[in-house]
Amino acid sequence: MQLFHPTTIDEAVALLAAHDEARCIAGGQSLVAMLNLGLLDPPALVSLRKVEGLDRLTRHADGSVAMGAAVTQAALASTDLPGALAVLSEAAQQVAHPAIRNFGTVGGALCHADPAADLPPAFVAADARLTAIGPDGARSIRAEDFFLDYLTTALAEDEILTEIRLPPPPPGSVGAYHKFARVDGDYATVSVAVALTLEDGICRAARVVLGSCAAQPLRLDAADAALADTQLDSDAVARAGALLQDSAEPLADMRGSADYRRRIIPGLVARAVEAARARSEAPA
Amino acid sequence: MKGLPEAIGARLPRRDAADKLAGAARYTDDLSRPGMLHAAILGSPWPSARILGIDTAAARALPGVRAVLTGADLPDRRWGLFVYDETPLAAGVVRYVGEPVAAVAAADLATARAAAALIEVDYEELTPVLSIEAALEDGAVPVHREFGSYEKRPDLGFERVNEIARQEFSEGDVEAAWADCDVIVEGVYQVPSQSHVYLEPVSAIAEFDRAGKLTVRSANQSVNKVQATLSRALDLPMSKIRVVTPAVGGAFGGKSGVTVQPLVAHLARVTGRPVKLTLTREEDFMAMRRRHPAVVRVRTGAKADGTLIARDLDIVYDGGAYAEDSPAVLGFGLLMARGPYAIPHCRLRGRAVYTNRLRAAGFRGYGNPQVTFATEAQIDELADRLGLDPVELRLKNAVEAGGRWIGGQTITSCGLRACLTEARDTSGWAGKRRDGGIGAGGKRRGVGVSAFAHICGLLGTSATVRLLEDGTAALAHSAVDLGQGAEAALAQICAGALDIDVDRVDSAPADSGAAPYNWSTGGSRVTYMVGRAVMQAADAVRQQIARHAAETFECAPGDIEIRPGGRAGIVGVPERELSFGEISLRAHYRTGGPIIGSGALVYDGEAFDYKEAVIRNYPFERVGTYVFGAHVVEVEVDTVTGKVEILRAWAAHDVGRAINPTSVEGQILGGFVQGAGYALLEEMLWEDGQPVNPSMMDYKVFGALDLPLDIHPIIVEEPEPSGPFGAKGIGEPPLVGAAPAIANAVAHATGLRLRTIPMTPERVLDALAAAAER
Ligand SMILES: Cc1cc2nc3c(=O)[nH]c(=O)nc-3n(C[C@H](O)[C@H](O)[C@H](O)COP(=O)(O)OP(=O)(O)OC[C@H]3O[C@@H](n4cnc5c(N)ncnc54)[C@H](O)[C@@H]3O)c2cc1C
Repeated sequence: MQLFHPTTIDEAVALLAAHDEARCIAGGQSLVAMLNLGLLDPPALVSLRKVEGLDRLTRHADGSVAMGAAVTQAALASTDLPGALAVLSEAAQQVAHPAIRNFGTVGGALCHADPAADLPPAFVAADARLTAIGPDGARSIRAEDFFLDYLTTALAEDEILTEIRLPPPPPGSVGAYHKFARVDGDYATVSVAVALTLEDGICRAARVVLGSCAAQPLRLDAADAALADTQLDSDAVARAGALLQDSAEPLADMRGSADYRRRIIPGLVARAVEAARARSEAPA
Repeated sequence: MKGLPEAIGARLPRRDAADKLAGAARYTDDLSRPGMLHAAILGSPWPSARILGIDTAAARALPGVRAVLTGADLPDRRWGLFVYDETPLAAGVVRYVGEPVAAVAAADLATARAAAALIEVDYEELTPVLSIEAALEDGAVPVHREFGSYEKRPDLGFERVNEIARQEFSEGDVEAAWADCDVIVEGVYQVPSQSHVYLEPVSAIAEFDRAGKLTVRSANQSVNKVQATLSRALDLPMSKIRVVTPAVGGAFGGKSGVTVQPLVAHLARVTGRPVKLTLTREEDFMAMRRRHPAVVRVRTGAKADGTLIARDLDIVYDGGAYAEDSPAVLGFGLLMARGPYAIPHCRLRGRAVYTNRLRAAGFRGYGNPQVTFATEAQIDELADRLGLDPVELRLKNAVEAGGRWIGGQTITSCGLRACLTEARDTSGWAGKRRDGGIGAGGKRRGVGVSAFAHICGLLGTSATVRLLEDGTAALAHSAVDLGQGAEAALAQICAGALDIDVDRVDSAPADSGAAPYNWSTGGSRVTYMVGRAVMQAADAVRQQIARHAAETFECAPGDIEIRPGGRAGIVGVPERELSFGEISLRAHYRTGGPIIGSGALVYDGEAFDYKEAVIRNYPFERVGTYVFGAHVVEVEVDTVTGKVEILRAWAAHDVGRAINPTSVEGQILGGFVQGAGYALLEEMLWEDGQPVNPSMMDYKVFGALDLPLDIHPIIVEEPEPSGPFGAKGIGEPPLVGAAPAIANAVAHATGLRLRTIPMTPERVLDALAAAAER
């Protein structure tokens, strides 16, 4: 297996294109495990660690945020982000353990597309735009459209995720990430990422996204609509939870049966919504 | 009473702590030997199959491969503790998924693993026995067709196919006693297979010198057991085998017998080179050992005033594919099944059976956690029915010093009452008990208690103490330090017995070539048993010191006293004294020879009383010196997820005397945490005989962030007359009491009695849902 250390994105893209079935390696926290288990055997690895500028996180004056794909989970976890974007830092804080967050990158976590991972639902809740660069140039993909299936994304084999852009969060927006796991540092049994826009106690817009409940992050227009223009009363929240519950197709594994996961969805959705809402009441 | 020597009760840091913190401690896998080869194994994919043929040609052809071994290449020399049923590699048939079938030694690890993957095995699948019920049903397939021909210890008591052992401890007349009971509770309890999950996976390095002597370096719990088993497996006299112990990264019973040492020794023999084998975490999960899962049927009856009258208990332990410790685990479980209560009528019976799953073996608690989970639940069920406080009910029936254990032995020291009252009073039990079921945000709180016992006296051990030329001491024993601090505790006992500073006592990691015999670091016995041998040895040294001093001062040895700090002098004459150094020089260079003391004993407590009790097939006539504890645990049950969170715990343990209170507290905390995992989280699972979760990804253990800092160890000191400075054991009991206290707290919080552990969120939620439907 060959290992390359490009310093520019163009160089990295060219290397990926030149080697059939080559892979990017970012923090290696999932890739190396896959190699060890014999699940992957790429002929070449293209490391992103030396690519200039890929680890930069920028907060713009208008509240929008741009982060390079190689920003570490630890860096995101320790960044204060405005409004609903707090869901991102909060999710990053709950990924694995410090040692893994220090290596693992935001881009790696998104591109790995593990349905049980923490960052994908959070980035869908925040309505992130992902920039992919390949031999034919750059394109932007909504986080929503990025996760196609279990460990499968919209990236082509020779494309690299370079940057993630977050639109400015609307005034009054709040976010929260609620993770339920067997033990600290485990993948989620079920997780809920929430972004709400509140105006005088009324929810004007909501994005509720579940992790570990389908092959990709699960968001439903109907569930979000059930919360919109309500005071987030328990009936509305229960309705949203029930809709998500009906659509969920969780895996069964050691973390819980599919039925169990489905059963706890409404209760966890209620907790996540409440955690976000409480934030709008707390003095900033 | 004379005060205790300074070394006793001192919170001294471990000698190995600095090295471990700095990453400088050397474990077996850190070591290398000149010319060393690396080994890899190939495990069975089937729970039960006949090996029709093994094609090793491709593996042998791989450059760098030095040897490929299969069961057919090895002599038919089986080993075991009670049934000689084990071989280094499967011999003709495989009996569990992961059982080593072939092994490779090669120049490097990658080559060894690649070669192992090239070995082709032709299997004929057989019908596996995958549960206790399947093992015992009529017409069950025997897991060992050859069982009848195996060499084995007499009186195992097995009756049916797949039974390894059948035992009983009974007293009184249970059938007649039910009529005297006002309340009877009855239940079936199921306990899981827990993995030892020591931090250091199994590893061994073996090498032969040119004189044919074998040296094996490995993590182990007894150099002497490993040496004896290697002797049998390799047909070598023990004088030709040296077993050395590098730093050990935990064991918990999982390394108490041989692990891979015989296999590695065979590879070293055929290659003529040192060979190392370290199992991957997955291989270790699949091919080593685990706690016996069990089904426990119990019935307990009491008078309206809470007096316990009768208990009938029947337990079946799943021993897995090889007998290992099963007969002893079974019997010890039964010995604990009356609990620490004076119940006059008891019938306690059990069996251990073979199945086509990983072998089960000793694991912190040794059959006791299984039984005590069930019996301590029943005490609470009785309290509930009788409207009595669970602590009061326990206090009312608690055994006391001078009372009898089941089997007739006298209890020589007993701090059970103090444990119960201390745990009750420091926890604020009464208030928490009143507030059961209360909570906010879908959570309900509860508090539960358990009381329990264990032993610390069994089998044989020895130690020597030598006085070095400068008057410091060299202590030698074979109590392997597993990380729990045995080495430090024994050094403190030696320092205490000689009344010198502990820094003036040297000791070394267990080495069969350098130190005298010890049965094992197990059974919570090291501080008590090896400590007694150290006391004897130190005492012999003191006598020789006194004799030298008496000769020098021309007085009677009886007029000599040993003074703190390593001096001997005439009683009442402070200025007439010699240092140990002066005495030792005299002994080394002038008269008498170097001062050496030795101690040796086999457990010498009272034997069981075979006239008073029905005791069938228990393999020992005496084990004992009972230790006691009580836990109070406060939990919060999340009714949304079913997750049980431990909020606080109070763990009181009667250790006789805390030689090193910091180490005792460490054992209490660690045992409680491992017991909490047993109660709430840990379970090895199989589907159709295939392990489902043999990795740290799928099999979780609690870490520092999962449990509260609010776990309070409470040390109760009720000195044991026979113990070193009154000390007893502490290694296992803290695990034993955790699960029942947690289950009792869950019952208090929810009103639901969960009789199956682990109480996973899913199980708890199911129980809550079922209750809501009723
Ligand atoms: C013990 C452990 C526990 C964990 N627990 C959690 C947890 O609780 N929650 C959780 O969410 N995750 C968890 N993880 C996964 C962790 O978050 C990983 O770091 C993350 O999934 C991958 O990030 P990485 O930078 O290490 O990527 P890598 O492992 O280097 O790569 C992962 C995949 O993404 C591809 N890739 C990486 N970067 C790019 C890019 N810029 N463009 C295109 N493709 C790219 C790689 O080719 C590879 O296929 C855990 C991991 C471990 C080892």
